[in-house]
Amino acid sequence: MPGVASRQITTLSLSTLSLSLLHPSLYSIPLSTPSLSLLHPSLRQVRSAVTLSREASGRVLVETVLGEELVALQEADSGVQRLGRGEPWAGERSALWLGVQSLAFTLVTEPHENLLLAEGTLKNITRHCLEHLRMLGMGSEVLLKSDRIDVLLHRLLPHGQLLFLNHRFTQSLEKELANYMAQ
Amino acid sequence: MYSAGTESLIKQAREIGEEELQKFYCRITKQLMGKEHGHDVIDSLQRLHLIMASTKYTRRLPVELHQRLLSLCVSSSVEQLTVLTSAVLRETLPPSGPGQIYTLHDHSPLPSHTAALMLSQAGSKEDLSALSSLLLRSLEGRPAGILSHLHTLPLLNTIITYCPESLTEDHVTLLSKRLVDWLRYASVQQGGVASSGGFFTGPRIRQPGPVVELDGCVCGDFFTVLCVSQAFSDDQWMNLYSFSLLRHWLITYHNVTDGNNSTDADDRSEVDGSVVSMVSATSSSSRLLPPKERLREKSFQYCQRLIEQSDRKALKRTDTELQKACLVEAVRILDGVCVEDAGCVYRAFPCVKSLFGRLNSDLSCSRVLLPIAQFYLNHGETAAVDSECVWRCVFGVLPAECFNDPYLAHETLSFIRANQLQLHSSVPLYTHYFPSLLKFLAWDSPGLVSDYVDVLPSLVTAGTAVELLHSLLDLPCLTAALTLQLRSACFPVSEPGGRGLSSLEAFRSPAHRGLFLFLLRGEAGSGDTMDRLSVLHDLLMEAADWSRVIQSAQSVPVLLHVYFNTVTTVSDERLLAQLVLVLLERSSLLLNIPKYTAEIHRVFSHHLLKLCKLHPSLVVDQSRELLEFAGTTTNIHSKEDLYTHVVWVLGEYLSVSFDSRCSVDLVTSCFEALEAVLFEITSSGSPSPRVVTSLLSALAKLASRSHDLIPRVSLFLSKLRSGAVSWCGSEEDVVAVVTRGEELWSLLKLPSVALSVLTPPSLATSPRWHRDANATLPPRLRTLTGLTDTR
Repeated sequence: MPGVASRQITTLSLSTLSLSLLHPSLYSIPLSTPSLSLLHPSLRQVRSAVTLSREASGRVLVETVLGEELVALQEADSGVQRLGRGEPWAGERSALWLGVQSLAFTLVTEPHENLLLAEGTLKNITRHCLEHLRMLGMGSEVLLKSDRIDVLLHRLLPHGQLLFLNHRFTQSLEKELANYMAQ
Repeated sequence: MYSAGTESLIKQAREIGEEELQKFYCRITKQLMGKEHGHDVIDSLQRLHLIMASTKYTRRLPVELHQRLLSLCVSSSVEQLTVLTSAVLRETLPPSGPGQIYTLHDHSPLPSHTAALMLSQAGSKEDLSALSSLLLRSLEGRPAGILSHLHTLPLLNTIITYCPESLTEDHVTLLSKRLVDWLRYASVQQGGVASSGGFFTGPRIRQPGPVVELDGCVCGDFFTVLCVSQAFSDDQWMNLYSFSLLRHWLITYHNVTDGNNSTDADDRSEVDGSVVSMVSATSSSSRLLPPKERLREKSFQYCQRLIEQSDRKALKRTDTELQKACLVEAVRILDGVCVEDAGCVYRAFPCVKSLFGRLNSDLSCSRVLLPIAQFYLNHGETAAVDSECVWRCVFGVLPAECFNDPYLAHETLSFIRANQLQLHSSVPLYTHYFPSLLKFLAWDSPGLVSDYVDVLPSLVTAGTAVELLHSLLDLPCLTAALTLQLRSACFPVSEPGGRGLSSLEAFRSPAHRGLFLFLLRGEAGSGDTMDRLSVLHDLLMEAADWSRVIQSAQSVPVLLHVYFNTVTTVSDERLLAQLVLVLLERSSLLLNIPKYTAEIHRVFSHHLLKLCKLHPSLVVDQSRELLEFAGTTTNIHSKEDLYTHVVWVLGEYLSVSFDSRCSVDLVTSCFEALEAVLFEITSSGSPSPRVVTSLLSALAKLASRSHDLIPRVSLFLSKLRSGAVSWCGSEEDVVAVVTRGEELWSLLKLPSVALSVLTPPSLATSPRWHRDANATLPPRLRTLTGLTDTR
C-alpha cells in the first residue's frame, strides 16, 4: 500500500530554529498517510550525520550571499547515511545529503537505485533550488513560491524516478524550467 | 538563509484565525469562478498552500472550493495552476469521508500532476490497478497530447514499487513489448524541427542530422541515453524513461534478484539454461522469443552498447559523470540478466572483464568497480575465472586510497553486508584485508559504525583474532595517521617558522617511518602489533583532541563488544589465553584520550569475566601473568576497574575443581601476593573500599581451599573487626569494609562450610531446583495441597 514516501527532498535546518522545516511540497511522491512525525527519525539521523561530519573535518564555513550559488555548492559537504529497518521505513534506505551553509538537502533512495546517479541528481536539484528560490538571501521565496519546487522535481525527478540525463536532455528540461520560473 | 521573516510567516500561517480563514476561502472561491486567472489568483493559491502545508493536522476545505480546485487541476492548461491546485489538494489527504475521494473519470491523457494526486489518494491495490490500467490505456491509444504521457513510465515505476501485483500478466507483457520498442528501436535522427536559422534559410526546413555520441562522433548504432542531439523526439524521450526504470522492472517482474546471492539461482539456471541458452547465443533469432525473454535480450544488448560508449571521452564533465552512472547500471543489469539466464554469462564476461581491466587503475572510477565485483562474485565460478585481482583491488587498494570517499565507503560496506556468507566461502582472502577495510571506519566512525557492527563478525577468524584486537584498540591512532597522511599530501612542504604540527613532523621523519607504515598497512599477517607502541602514542599525543580521533575512539568500545562476543565462537583455549594476555598488556598501552582508557577498561573487565566463566582453566593457565598484574600496586590506581576484576577472577577460579593442575603451592603463592598488596595499600594511603573488599574476598576464597592459610587471613580480619580502619575515607566505606570482614571472619571459623560457600560446586552455581527430585518434593507437595484443599 502506498505508505510513507519512498523519495522526498527535504530541507532541514541546522541552525537553532525549533521548527522542523519539513516542507510538504517538496515531496515528489505523494503520501497517503501524511504523518510528518513519521519522518522525523530519519531527519534527525541526517542532521546528526551532517553535524558530526562537519565537526570532524573542522572546516570553517564560508558565508555566501545571493549570486554566489556556484561557490556555495562547491563548498558544500556531502555524504550518505544508512537508514536501517524501521527508521522509519520498513526496509533499508540510504539518505544522501548535501550540506549548503545551514541547510541540508536530503534524497532518500531505495537499495536497488543507482547511488552515483542520485548524487548527481541531488547536486543538480540543489543548485536549482538555491538559484530559483534565492535561498542564499533573506527572502521567503521557499515558502511563497513553493510551486517552483514542485515543477523542478516534476522535471528532474518525475514521480521520484531518477533519470539518466545527459547534458542535452538536461538543457532541454532546464529550458522548460526557465520558462516556467520567468512567469 | 532562513531569516526570522520566514519563521514568522510559518507561524502566521499556522495560527490564522478560523473567521479569517473562512473569509479567505470565500475570496478564493470567487476568484476561481472567473474565466481569467491572473497573478492575484496565483498569489492566493500560494498562500492557501502555505496555510494548508504549515498546519500539522489535515485541514478540510469547503466543498465548493474543493470541487473548483479539482476541476481546475484536471482541466487547466496553465501549468502553474495545475501544480498549485494539485499541491493544495494533496494537503487535504487522507480523505476523511467517502465524499472526498477524487474519482477517476476517463480523462485521457491524464495530466502528470493530476495523476500524482490520484496516486496520493490510492489506498488499496484496486485503486492502484485502476490507475495503472488507465495509464496503460493511454499508452496504447497514443493520443494527440503525446508529451503528457511521457511521465507514464515514472508513474508506473512508483506503482510497482508499492504494489507489483497491481499490473496484470497482460499489462506486463504489453509493457515488455513497448519497452523493447523504445529501448532498441528509437529513432537515430535528431528529433524536433531544427531552428529555422536566419535570413538565408528558405521555406525548406533544414534536415535534422543523425544523433551523435558524447565525443562528437556520429552515432553508429541504436539510440541510448549516452547519445546527444539538438532536440529529442518522443521515442527518444521514452528511451530515456525506459532505461531509467529498466533495472527496477527486471527485478520486479523477472525474478531477478538484486544481483546478490540467491540460493535458488542454481536450480533455476538448470531449467532455464537448457531451454534458452541456445537462443541467447544467437541474438538474431530473438524475434522468436516471448516478450519477457526478448526484453531481457534487448536489455543485454543495450547494456553492452552503454559499456562500449563509456569508453569514449565525453566533451562535458557532467557527461563523464553520467557515463560512470551508466556503467554501474549496465553492469548491474547484466549481472541480473546472467543470474536469470546462466547462458548469458559467457557472452557477458569478456565485456565485464575488459571493463575491469580498463578501470582498475583509475581511482575516479572506483564506484564502478563494486558492481563489477558483485558480477565476479556471482558468476566467477561459472565462468571459471580467477577473481583474485578484483578482491585485491576492492578490499585492498580502494579502501587504502579512497578512505575519505563517503559514498565508496557506504557502497563497499553495503556490498560486504549483502554478501557476507558468500564472501566467507568463496573469497578466503577477504579477512586478510581487514587493516585496509578498517580505514573507512577510522575516517568516518559515526556514519559507519553500525555497518561495522554487522560486518566485524565475519572478519574475526582464528588467524586474524589477535592482530584484529590490536588494530581495533589502535583505531584512534589509525585515524590520526590517516589525517596526517592527507595533510602531508596536501601540504608537501613543511610550514616555515615551526608552526606545523609536531605529529606531522614525526609522520614525515624517516626515524618513525616504520611505525606509521605498519599502522597504515593494507594486509594482515605481518605481525600482531609493533614493538614501540608507546613511542607511537607519544608522537600522536596532540591528536588526542582532534574531533575525528575522538569520534573514532567513541566507536571502539561497541566494536570490542562485538569482537569479544564473536571471538569465543572461533577460538580454542590457546587463542583465548593469548587474548587474555593481550588484555592485560594493552590495558596500559592505549592512546591517551580522555575517557577512552576508562571505557576500554570497562569493556575488558566485562569480557575477562565472561571468558574466565566460559573457560575457568584459563586462570590457572595464565596464573603467572594474572598474578603479576595483581601484584603490581600501581595498577590499583591507574586501572581500578580491571584490577578488581582480575583479583576476583583469581579468587574465584584458581581452584582444583576447575583445573586439576592447580597445586597447593600455586594457591599459596597467589595468596601471598595478594596479601602483600593488601598490607601495602592499607598501611599507606587510602585505598578504595571496593579494592579492599575484593582482595579480602579473594583471600578468603583461597584460604578456604588451603586451610593452613586461614589463620593468616583471620588475623587480619579480626583486626578489622576491632576497628583498625584508619585508612578508610568515609563512614559508609568503613561500614562496607567492616561488614565484609565480619562475614568472612565468621565463615572462616568453620572451614568446611567456608569451602562449600566460597568454592561452591558447579551444581550449586547453576541450580535447577525444579529438576532435582529431592529439592522439588516440598514445593510439589505444597502445590498439590493447595489445589486439593477445599478449605
